[in-house]
Amino acid sequence: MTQSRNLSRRLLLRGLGGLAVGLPLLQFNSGKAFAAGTPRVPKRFVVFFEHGGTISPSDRWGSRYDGTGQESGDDAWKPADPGEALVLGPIHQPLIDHLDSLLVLRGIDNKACLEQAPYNGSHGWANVTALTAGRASALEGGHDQATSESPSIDAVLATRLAERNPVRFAAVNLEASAHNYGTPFFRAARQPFDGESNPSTAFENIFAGVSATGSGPDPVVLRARALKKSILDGTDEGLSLLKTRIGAQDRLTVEAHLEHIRTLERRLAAAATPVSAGCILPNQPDPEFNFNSTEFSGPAHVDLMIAALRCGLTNVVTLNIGDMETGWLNPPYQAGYGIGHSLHHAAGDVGPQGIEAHLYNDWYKSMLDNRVWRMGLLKQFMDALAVTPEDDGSMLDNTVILWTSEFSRGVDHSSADVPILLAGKAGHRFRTGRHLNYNLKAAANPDTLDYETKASTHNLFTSILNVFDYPDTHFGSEHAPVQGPLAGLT
Amino acid sequence: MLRTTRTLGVALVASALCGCLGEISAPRPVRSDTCSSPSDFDVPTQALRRMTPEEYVATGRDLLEQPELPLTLPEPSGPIITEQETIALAAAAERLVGTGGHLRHAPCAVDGAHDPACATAFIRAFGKSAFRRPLHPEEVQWLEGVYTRTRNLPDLSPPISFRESLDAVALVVLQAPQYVYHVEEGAEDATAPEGLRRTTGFERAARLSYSLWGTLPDAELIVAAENGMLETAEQVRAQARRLLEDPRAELTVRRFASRWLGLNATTGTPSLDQLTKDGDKFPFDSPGLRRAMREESEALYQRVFFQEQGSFQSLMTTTQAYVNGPLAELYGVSGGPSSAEEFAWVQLDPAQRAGLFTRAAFLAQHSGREYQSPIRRGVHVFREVLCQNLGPPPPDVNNVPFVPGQDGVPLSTRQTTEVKTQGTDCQSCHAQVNPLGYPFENYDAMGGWQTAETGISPDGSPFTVAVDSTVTLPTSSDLAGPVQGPVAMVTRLAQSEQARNCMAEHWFEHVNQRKVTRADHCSLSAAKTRFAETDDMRELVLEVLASASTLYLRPQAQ
Repeated sequence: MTQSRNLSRRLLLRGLGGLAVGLPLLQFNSGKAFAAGTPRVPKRFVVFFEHGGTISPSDRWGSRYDGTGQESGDDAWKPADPGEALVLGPIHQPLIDHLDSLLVLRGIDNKACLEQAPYNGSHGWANVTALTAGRASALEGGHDQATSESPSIDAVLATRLAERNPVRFAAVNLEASAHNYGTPFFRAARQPFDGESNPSTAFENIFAGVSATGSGPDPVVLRARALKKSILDGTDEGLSLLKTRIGAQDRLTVEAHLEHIRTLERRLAAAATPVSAGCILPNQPDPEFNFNSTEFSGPAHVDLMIAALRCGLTNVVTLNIGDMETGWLNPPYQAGYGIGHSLHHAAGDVGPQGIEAHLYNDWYKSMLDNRVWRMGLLKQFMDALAVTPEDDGSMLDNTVILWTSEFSRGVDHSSADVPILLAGKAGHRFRTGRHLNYNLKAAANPDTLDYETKASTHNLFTSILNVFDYPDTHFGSEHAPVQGPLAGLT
Repeated sequence: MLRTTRTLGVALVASALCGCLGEISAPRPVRSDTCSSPSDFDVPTQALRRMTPEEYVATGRDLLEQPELPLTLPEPSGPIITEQETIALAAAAERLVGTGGHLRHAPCAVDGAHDPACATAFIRAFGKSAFRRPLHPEEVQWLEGVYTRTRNLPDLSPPISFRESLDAVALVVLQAPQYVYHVEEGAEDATAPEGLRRTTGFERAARLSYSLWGTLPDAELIVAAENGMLETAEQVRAQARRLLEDPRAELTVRRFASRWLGLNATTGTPSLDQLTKDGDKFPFDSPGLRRAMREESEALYQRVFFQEQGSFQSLMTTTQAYVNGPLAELYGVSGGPSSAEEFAWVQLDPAQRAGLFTRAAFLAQHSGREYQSPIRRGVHVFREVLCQNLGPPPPDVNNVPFVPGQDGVPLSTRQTTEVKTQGTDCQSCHAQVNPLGYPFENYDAMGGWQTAETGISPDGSPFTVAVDSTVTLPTSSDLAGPVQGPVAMVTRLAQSEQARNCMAEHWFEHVNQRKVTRADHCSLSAAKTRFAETDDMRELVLEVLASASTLYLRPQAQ
């Protein structure tokens, strides 16, 4: 990778590449659907999912470390001021220019994980419930292996929004690939999916056949599309034929394959959907460039997300950010295996009584730099949306961005008090520029280490559906202490 | 790049397995049938298996006679294909068809006018090669339909040509489930054990070729299938022997070696080539050295397998090594190759090295950045060499690799490991696992020989501690008893019936591309017996391929 670091990003990318995965218009089995109305804003839903949690003192049993023992007790996610007026904390500093478009939410648990997972939390169970808030099932391969029995919030919205606002791709799903323990994204029960990790491939998937605004249908493209349709139809027929000759178990395998083919067929049909006025095609990323490091794939993917939205190709984009060690930032703490996972685990050893107490400063700087770098991806995204005019404001005003993780504190595999940041004004539905803490104990003492909450991601996702004008009263499983949306968001 | 992973790998967290939930158990349970008659043999129901990326690439290249064509597919994320993998299949098919290699199956001029009869002949010929069997009538009809629909696509200028129509058929074939999956239906056979169907000759031909070559059956296998020459176990064994003697089997053996040693990226663990090592401690490390390590272990396995009667004993104890200059230097070999480009077979010091598990590839892979990991090495021996079950560690176990020393007290890596795993919960697993790794303490994190370790105290002062590789192995395996050092350890492994049987299980799974089940008891027992009688891994493989696991299948419920 050394050769690439000396190149400018612009030269590297030579355009924008990204991975597109369009969701099939499956029936969702989560969220109480109803006939969608016709509101036009908010228009888009975006997920930034970071693996490995954040710098948090929250353990998975609902208590907090005070930082006097073996464990670090830092909280770099919380705002600098405990009040409702948002004053950004250390991790969110890159977003200072967008303070008025942010909502930092604390005191929200992933109750679906806490209530179902062995040990009250584990990698597999936390991931599969993080965006589904749903029931999960164990898989073979150990207690840490699980799958979701329901779709994630992005998939539900992708399906609904595509019905309301037809687009070429129900969703564009990308992945800044690095170590992780499973995707949080589920198309339907037991159907996890990954985003495209290679920006060049993503570019081809998203922008193939897209013409800039103003140009008419290209006969060459139309011809290629007709041929492709015939081939997809032929593959579809082959799968259907095989289905008649195999057993029940194998039929499920073939039907899943068949569904992918039909998704591609639908996408091909949707390719005739006109692009937005003002769509400017990004340049082709250099297919020869090695995008293996998130240092390069992360920003490249964000550029693709921006272009896909500006061209009106989708209503939903997601970025799955792996748990990388940001070696290019020259972290002073050397984690064990070159992956972020080891960095989080060191939080259990760098407290004043820990075996690596002498490395605390190095560790904290390494962790903070890592998380701030990740947040820089959101800044890049928000910067672009904020200068994209739309209606009387910007595209950012009509977007809902969710930033979250499967854990609050990685070393504890804690799904309590998970990091949640909402960005964008949701068509001016969210009252932004605020900090809301749902920890009931914080009402009397904002700095307390005591913790109790009835808020869950179930409620968060219900709120998100509501600001898209879907009047769902509940999302996900039965594990939420209370149903309905979060209080105070709108 | 570190491969995106899905699950927690024990190797990743093997620095501490404290509180392990798993239960130490006896070797994998098997049925106690006598296997005295053919009707005792059984096979499990198998799920439809998709070609591996390696199989797809090799098959495509062979089918279209494009041996050098650059072609890749992503690693599968599970048994059910994902949308991205579906898209990747389409891209690979386009690349293959772009070569025009499929058109040699068309018995006419493809650049001329449309010729439906020629198209049908093409469908039958190309389809038979691709699907590894003659097409069913309805499959011919299906692909003829693709041809007709494509040539008649309306409102296109110019109209679709004959060649474009054949290309479209080929693209469908190369993405078709009949091509992408290993589909087996079997045939009724009154002599088959109860509930089983006999695999057809074509299915047996494909089994053999994919098991040993990872690609399509060759012409001789297809002819044998057509002429009913794969009907008996002996006929199958004879063809398997022919394939095993072909150079194309070498790659299969090499891949087995790498997988068995755990050199590839797995869930939570980078590959040997991607591991991070401490540059200050090992300034001689380089990508080339990592490749040489892998090459040495694969070449050693290949040599023993093909040139030394496939001897398990030799594999576990030989002092031969295939090294280049840097690797020779790591081993302290004098008079060997002097450059990175030059490889040669040399003899290693028999007091320090014997067999595959004393080589740098295994030793470096199952180590940390700076120091060796007796836990990771022990876990590998426990699971992969002895086939013993080990539960996963608790999810929040600290996975920071141990470094020598504890609270300022100079301790060796082994002593540090003992201190940190001494808790009662830890010992439920570590009492079994750690002793299997301690004999390898004479090898550092790169596989170099060491008799002492150095560490740095929290106050910055260096310390030196002697290495102790003497251990009493626990009674949970047939290795039990005192062992002094790594050579004695691998000698014990070479004599172990448990290790030999474990090797048989691994080959059974490698050849069949699936896990061993209780239903395989009789087939596996026969293979183990043959292996014990001959000490020859080739005979082991042949026994597996001529067993019920190849000759029969159990149909799924409808």
